[in-house]
Amino acid sequence: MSEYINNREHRQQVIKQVIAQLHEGKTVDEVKAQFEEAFAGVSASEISEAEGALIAEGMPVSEVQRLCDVHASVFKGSIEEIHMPEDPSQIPGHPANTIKRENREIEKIIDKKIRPLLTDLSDKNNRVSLAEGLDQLAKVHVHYQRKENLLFPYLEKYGITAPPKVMWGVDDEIRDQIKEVKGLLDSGENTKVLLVKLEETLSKVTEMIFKEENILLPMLIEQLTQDEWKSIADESGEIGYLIEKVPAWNPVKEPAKVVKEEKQEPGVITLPTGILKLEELVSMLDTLPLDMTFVDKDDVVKYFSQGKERVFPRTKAIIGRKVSNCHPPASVHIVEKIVEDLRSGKKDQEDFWINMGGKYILIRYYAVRNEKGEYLGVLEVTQDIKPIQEITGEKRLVSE
Amino acid sequence: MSKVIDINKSVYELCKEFPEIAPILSEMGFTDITKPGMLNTAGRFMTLSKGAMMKKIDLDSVKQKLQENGFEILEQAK
Repeated sequence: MSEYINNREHRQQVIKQVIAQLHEGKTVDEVKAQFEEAFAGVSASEISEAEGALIAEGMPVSEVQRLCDVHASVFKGSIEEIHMPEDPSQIPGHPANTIKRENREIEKIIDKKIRPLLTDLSDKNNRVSLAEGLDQLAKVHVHYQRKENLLFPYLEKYGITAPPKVMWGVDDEIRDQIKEVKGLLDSGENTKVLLVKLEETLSKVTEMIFKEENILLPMLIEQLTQDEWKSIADESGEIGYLIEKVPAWNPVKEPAKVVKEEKQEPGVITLPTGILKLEELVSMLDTLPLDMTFVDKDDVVKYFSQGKERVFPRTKAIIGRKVSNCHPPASVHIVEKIVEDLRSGKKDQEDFWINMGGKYILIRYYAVRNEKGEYLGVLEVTQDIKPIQEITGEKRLVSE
Repeated sequence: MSKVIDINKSVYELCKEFPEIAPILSEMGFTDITKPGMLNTAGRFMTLSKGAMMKKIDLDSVKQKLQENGFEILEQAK
């Protein structure tokens, strides 16, 4: 321990000497060797720390900055690399950290709950356990959903559109394949086919982890501001997590931006059939027993209501996003077709109804037009109609 | 002048420096680099060695193929 401290002190001494020599006019090349010797194998963060200590001791920042040229040339790394703040993906509760923790969990499920069972699938117990393992793996769905609904919108905002599209396509393939493997297992299908399919699926899942951590996260970390990460963190709960505990992340506020958002007085909205306070209007829309999403004439998502039990999760990140970017690539052409038909006037409405996790969901799309018949956008209305369909007879008395 | 490929450089940098390697790499299995908009985004974060690991492409055969096409391979122990 004392040796460790002494080393640190020694290194600080070297830094001081190096700075002094640079001050006297020596060149970077001349002092490089000394520096290299003292700092071989020392992490960049310790160098920043040592520099910080010197500044705290009263050395002018400009003097310490002379060092940058030295460590840049010694470490071949850029100065940014050394002075970069800590890696966001290491901060508990930071969305990048959550993504990585979930990936470790996915790996655990694959290595502990799936792979060990594959050696003997003639054993009935193994097949049952494998089914459980696959159900756990199927929860990657929420992990992918957070990427698609919260992270991708930011990439698009920064003009990065191709990678999220490609990644979303693969996410969908993985989801489908997990279902397919589960189906094969349930039907007692030939084990060989099952194993081949499963192996293919697992390697796709693993490849996705690699892509998330080596491409997606670095790309986001390069672009996103802390405030943007914070709003991602705040909205993540809406979609959910694969892991159980995600700590709250309360970053120190970045200095307030000069550009202020115009402070909006909660106003009064005059409608043709009444006058509402903004608060009344918002609460009224959120109380309706259905979910609404409005997309304007330029195909940009403008609004969604926040009912208590939303059927399809929506996050604020989708506001301002092109509707075609909010759907899995495989179904985009359907969405585009509906929008086109509503826009052109070929249709005024299109309905779908699907079974989903015990609910019976009616999804309706309406063309929204003004009095002159000009197209303003599309209104999507979704509702669980199962309880309504179950209604029979009459109810004339007040419930207890 | 010899053409040197550093396998720890990003695919984006490499393809910008030597546009002729894009089709070679694509043929070897790095199919995403020909998709529009991928190279200058995701490609900036993907090196040849990482990409090969991810796509499970044998790095040695990639190197060999590039050498056959007149490139020199630079490898730095990392």
